[in-house]
Amino acid sequence: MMVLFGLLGIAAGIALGMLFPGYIPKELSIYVAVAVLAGIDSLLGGLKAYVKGTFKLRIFVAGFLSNIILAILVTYIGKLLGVDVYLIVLIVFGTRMFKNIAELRRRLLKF
Amino acid sequence: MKKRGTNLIVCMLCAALAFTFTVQIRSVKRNNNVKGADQLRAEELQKSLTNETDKNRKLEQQLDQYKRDIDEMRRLMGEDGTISEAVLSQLQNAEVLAGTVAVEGPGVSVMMDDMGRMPAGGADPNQFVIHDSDILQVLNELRDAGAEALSINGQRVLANTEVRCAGNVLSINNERTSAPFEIRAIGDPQKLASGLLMRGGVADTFQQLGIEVKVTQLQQLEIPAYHGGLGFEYAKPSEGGGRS
Repeated sequence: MMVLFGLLGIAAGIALGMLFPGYIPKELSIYVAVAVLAGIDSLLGGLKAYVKGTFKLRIFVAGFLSNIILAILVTYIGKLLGVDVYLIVLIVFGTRMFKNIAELRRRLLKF
Repeated sequence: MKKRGTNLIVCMLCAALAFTFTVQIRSVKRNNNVKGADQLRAEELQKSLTNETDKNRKLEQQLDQYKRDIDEMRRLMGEDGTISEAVLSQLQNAEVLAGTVAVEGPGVSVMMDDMGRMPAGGADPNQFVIHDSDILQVLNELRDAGAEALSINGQRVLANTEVRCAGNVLSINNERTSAPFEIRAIGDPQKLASGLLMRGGVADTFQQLGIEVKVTQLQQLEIPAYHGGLGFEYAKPSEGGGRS
């Protein structure tokens, strides 16, 4: 049931995004990118927990927001230091996404 | 009730994420399409260069047309008999000297090329390439030997022709040209060649520097006319002045 609502939300979000008149300026693009990646990671984490039956809204929301804030913060610090620290964010979230997806696959396909 | 709240929050978070994701994708797409300022600048410069080149070509065509007109007028004047033979021959001499007509006759062709190999380690490669001064030395030697018309790589050498290093090429009559250089001179082939090849002369010096010089005596060679325009902004014949 909850997954259905999630999918509904995603569909609504995409529709709104297509209609949205504004654009994200180039300078902020990297922050939004890491934030989106962090969000996707949290979403997959939540899905995994849901499949496992250990989903808790508090943890999900807190993880979602803290992931995003941390990702943006790290990227910002990297900009200040002149080092591409956002690459770490990309690698960490990327790896976790693959891990989460792997676990989901194992659980859903019962391999 | 609690269940519904959970669903709603999840739905909203998903929506927010998907929304940001979509807008981001659209923004990236658009940002990539918008050209950078430097790219625009380069394009602009390219365009104005093309424009100028076009203009240049049109002007050259116009110049050719004028030259043909002048030839035509001269022919008509000659026919009319209103202009004497003497003046006509004087005009011809002046034209040969000024380089506005192509000329042919016996002479020499001097080929100069940079040394094919790079100098052994440590040596300054600048010493082994042809410089403007080398060309000028050859020109001077040829003039001394009685050359009546000169050209470098097809560019007629006029009284006001510059020979100048411009980066790694030479600028002659404002045209860029690079090694190998062929200098043509019309005059007594024997005299011209020996002027260059005499012991301790320029050819000897160049050989030591690693510049290859090849002098060929020819019974017939052609030197093209100067293609640009000749206009004088400052110099004008002084009134009551002497005449040759």
